Amino acid sequence: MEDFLVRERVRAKTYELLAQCYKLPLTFKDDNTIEVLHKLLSLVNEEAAIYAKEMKDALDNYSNLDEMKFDFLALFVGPKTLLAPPYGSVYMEEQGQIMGVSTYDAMRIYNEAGLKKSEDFKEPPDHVRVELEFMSTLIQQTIESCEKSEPQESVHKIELQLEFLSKHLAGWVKPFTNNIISNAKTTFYRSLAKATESFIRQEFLEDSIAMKEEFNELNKLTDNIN
Amino acid sequence: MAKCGMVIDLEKCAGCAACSIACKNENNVADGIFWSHYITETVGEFPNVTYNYISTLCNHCDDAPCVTACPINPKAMYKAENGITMHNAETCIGCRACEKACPYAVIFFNEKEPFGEWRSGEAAEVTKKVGGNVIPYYNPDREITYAGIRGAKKVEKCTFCDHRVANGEKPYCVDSCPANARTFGDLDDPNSDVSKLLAENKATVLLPGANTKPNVYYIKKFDIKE
Amino acid sequence: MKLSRRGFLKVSAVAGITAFLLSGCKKDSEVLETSKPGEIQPLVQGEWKPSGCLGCTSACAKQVYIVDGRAIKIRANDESKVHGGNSCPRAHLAVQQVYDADRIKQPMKRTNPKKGINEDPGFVPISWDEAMDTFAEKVLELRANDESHKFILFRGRYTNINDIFYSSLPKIIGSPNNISHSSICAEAEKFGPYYTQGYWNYRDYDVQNTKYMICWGVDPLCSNRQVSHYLNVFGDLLKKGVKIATIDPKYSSTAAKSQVWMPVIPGQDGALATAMAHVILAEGLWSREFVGEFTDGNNAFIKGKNVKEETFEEIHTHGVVKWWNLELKDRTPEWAAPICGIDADTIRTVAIEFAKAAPHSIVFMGGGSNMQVRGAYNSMAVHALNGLVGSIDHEGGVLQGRSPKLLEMPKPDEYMDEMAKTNSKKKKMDQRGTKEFPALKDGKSGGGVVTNRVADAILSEDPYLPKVAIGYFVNLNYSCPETERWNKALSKLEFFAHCVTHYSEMSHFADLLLPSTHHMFEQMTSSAQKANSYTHLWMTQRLIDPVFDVKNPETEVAWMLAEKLAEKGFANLLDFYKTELKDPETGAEPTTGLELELYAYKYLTKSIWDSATYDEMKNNGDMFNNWQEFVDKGVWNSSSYKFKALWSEMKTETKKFEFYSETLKKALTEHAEKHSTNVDDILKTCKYTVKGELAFVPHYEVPYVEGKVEQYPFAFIDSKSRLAREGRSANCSWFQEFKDSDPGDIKWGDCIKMNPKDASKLGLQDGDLVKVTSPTGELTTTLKLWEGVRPATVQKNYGQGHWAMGHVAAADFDKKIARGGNNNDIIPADFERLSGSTAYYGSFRVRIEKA
Repeated sequence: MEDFLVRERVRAKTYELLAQCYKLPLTFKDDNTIEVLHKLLSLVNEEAAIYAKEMKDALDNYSNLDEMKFDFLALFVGPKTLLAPPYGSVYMEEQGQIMGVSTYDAMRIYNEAGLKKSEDFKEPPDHVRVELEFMSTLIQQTIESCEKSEPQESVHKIELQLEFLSKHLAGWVKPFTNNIISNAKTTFYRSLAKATESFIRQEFLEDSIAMKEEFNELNKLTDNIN
Repeated sequence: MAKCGMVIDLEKCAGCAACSIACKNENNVADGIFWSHYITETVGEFPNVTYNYISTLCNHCDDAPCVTACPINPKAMYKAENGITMHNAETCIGCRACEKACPYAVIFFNEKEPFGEWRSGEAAEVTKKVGGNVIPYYNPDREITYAGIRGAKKVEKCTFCDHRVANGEKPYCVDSCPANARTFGDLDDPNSDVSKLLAENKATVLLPGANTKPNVYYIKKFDIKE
Repeated sequence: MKLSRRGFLKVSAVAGITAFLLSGCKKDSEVLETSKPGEIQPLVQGEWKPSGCLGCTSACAKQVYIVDGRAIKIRANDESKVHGGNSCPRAHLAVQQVYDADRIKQPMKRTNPKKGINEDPGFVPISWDEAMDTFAEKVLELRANDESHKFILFRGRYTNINDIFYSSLPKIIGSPNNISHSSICAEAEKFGPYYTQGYWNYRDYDVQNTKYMICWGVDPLCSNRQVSHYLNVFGDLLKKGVKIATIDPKYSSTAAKSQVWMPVIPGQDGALATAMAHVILAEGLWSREFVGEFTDGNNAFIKGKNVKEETFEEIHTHGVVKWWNLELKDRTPEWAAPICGIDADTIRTVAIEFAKAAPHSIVFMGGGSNMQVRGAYNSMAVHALNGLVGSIDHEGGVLQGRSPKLLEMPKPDEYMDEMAKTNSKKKKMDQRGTKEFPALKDGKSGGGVVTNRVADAILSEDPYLPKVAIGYFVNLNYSCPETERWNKALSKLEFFAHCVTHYSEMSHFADLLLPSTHHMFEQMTSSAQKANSYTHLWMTQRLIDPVFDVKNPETEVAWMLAEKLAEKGFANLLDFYKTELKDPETGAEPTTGLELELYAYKYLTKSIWDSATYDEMKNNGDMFNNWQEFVDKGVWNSSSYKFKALWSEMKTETKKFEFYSETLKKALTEHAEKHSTNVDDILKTCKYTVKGELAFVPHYEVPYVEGKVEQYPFAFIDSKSRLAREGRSANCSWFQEFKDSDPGDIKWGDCIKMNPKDASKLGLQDGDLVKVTSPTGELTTTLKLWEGVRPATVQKNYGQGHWAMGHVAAADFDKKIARGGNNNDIIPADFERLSGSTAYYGSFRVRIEKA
């Protein structure tokens, strides 16, 4: 079980750091966010790790973060038309509206995990940062319930992870990151997009499912021992 | 804690059924099922006749026979803290004990999947095309607190639009009544509109002899002739 | 470890950074927080978009709730001063109409040339291009043979810009035949107000300020007229103690909310009205301010006695003494009671109380009292009660609405070639203005339409046999009496194109089905209406993508036809649209039907959203700074009403309120002269009994009733269903689910209601399937025993009996089996000829037998 939990901590942290990458870039030169992201991705996803390396190199090459800031604003904030709107509903709703049915579904799943978007975060609840951090927190909750030996609770949280990945993040990561790739002016964001896309794709198609199987297998073991 | 209740002014009520139609719309209620309904009768002999129209809905009784009758643990039919009689469509086993216990006949049972006529053929195509859920005019608000559309072998009934009430709105029948005949509010608060109406008027409930302590009250008369 | 997760390096490799991972244990999130237990998610944030409803003549301003491109719910647009935030029940049904899987989904053409109710038309899908090409060919064929007048455009419900289609298309092609539905809707009801006060329209009633209201042959809580408003205001009236009396042969929704119900015998409204007028005069309760006074101050209106005209000084009225002498002096309640079925005391009491409350009192008149074969004088008599008590144009009384001053749509005259000019002056297909059909709208012989006569005219080929027709928002072989004539007449048309949302009864006889947009959601629409002493004008935009391949007939179909005609060498219609209907802001020519739609609405309403034009037209109400501001709000309101402005300024011959109608005298005389005869002969031709001077005052006429009592013992009472949306909503399951909101009716079914005493005599029981036979037709329905009708009458609502429309409306859509019966299958096609109105009420009798 401990090995399982280690792997889950890696996943949780990776999601958390990816979420951090979609913040306004102010501190990346002073902290080790990108470096740790690279290290973690190297453990779980070779392809994504290569892109993370590109991000790190790009960061090292910039004398300051001004260029990245402008790029960030144009892609995700405005005031002009967003080049890569970071909201799920834009990609999930037929009319591309913000706060659509899919947004409410995301909120419902947050609620099931006892969470909601923070009042202080003035963006819609299906913002990419919220969704990535939500996955991180869900994994964290899974870890906690495993530690407390509450398998039913763990199963519930694992189901939520799979549901959220398939109904939300995996549903829009491709068109979203494509927008970044076509419109970003900096290598950093192009590579971030590629890393994100690669990570989520593998999570959705393989790693999350393998995680569930591993958990089930472990639980059977535990049952046997008891 | 609040205790939700309703007062219906029969003198203002014009018997138009807008409440019942709007209820179907808000709560995705299928044909043959009536969360909001009416009892009508023409009495007397020509030309000395009167017509009575009494709007009916779940009375959200203090001593709710439906809750007592529910055999599930925890109860699938239960009293929420705000006094609303709620139903959990997920744990409901469809035994219909609540339906039989209710003296007001306001609990309905889905023998089959509701909206059967919408589930195949051209009708299903329309829903698919416009993006509803089973029905094209599906209201997603309903699923915030209850199954958006209830399933086969489950009962269903009025929830006082708890999803709206929790969001500071009135039940949709109240908003949709063109005669302003319905007042909704907190019966425990002496300053609420419902409490004031009950203080100022002689009120009746349906089947007082059933000792259910209903929370839907009626004041005045529908047909004002002697 | 049996499982190895792909992509993961060995745990040992992870171990190197475990410390870091743990130290990096989640810090407080900036974007997520713990939700409180039981916390409920917010409601979906859709958008309430302005719209409007043409589900009946009320024409309410609405809002539609749009979530992710779907229309979910409907409510009132509370910006309207006509109805505020109140919505009638039937508006909600529109979401079931627009998303109905039974709608016509793409253009179709007929493949079976034989037409008839039992013929399968063999409709097959075609493209819009092919459809319009075929239609244009047919029109040009008429023109090639100099038969352009043999084109008909039938209009049912319509929007504010209908002129660009309804009026201009036939004219430019060269046809006089634009036939509206108006005379199956009202007309006789407008006759009385016109020939007393010069107003050919529905009235507004200042209900919220009234102290006494008589609802006469009208059910304002159910179907007529501003239901959304009246549903709201009735409660306040009752709370204030305002007295309401309802005159209706059946116990209506409104009767149930009235203190007094007067179940008049069908067709005998004239006796009741003249008796009430008698009481008001004899009791000295007329308005001194409005009508005037005897010079000596003593009331000489004494039963049975003539009054000298010169002894009475009239002020704002004309001919009160003549009316008394010619008609009223013997019309006592005791005379009327056995005729109309209301006891004399009640007649006297209601008349006195009504007059005493005046001028804050209202006789609210609907079609029931006058859409009868001899109903024109009832219409005058009932309305004239308001004149006697001076409630005309008075606060709390009877008002004339003021329409918003809109720009007149461009006239097509310059685009009419020689053939168009000549042929559009040929006789109209409805026989209006003939000796038998005066249709005296606005005082002119043939001024109004005689909708239901067109079927007979086609069958008798009088004045000629039309060949090509188009109809929109209309279903004449369901909504006009004696439907079978229409089935035959439609079968006789060489080519008919039908523009509707649903495959309705009329579609069955079409050669082309041109599916229509739904007016509330899929197209621009605008309409104006009055109530609550205000007039509003609402405007809606296309709110959702059309659910199917459908087009707006008034604009898109018109445009496509214009293009096709131009392609084939006849460009006049297209030139008209391009030249006359440019964008009023940019001057751009329309290049598509949707642009034509937009520019036409911008043009029409420029006097509302453009301040210079507003001033120029001296509009009286809300002002907007630009088009966008107007459409965003979606409703314009008039300024508040100025009372008494009409007093002695009426559009009658004398400018007064005419009890003795000089205006009618002139109109009838002109019509008689046109046909080289006298007024007495005209009236006789029109089935009236009156002769001489009495013809110019409201008077009692013995009702003309089809069917002898011995053979047909029951007088038939036709009424409208609350949720019917003018016969178009029967395929909505909510119509069926709540059909029993019509007092005495049943869900998912149809019934005829009979007094239990009659039933027991006939040995009939509640729930029996019965055959209802009239002199002109029969239907089968369920019998309901009901105390809400008097013995010897039966009542049935209009709204069921569709054999088309869809799988919900019909009992078997594929086999054309109706759910219940359609009243129009048994109502004889008769008319109130002076107005052109169809006679639905008090005009025929039926026999009931077990089916």
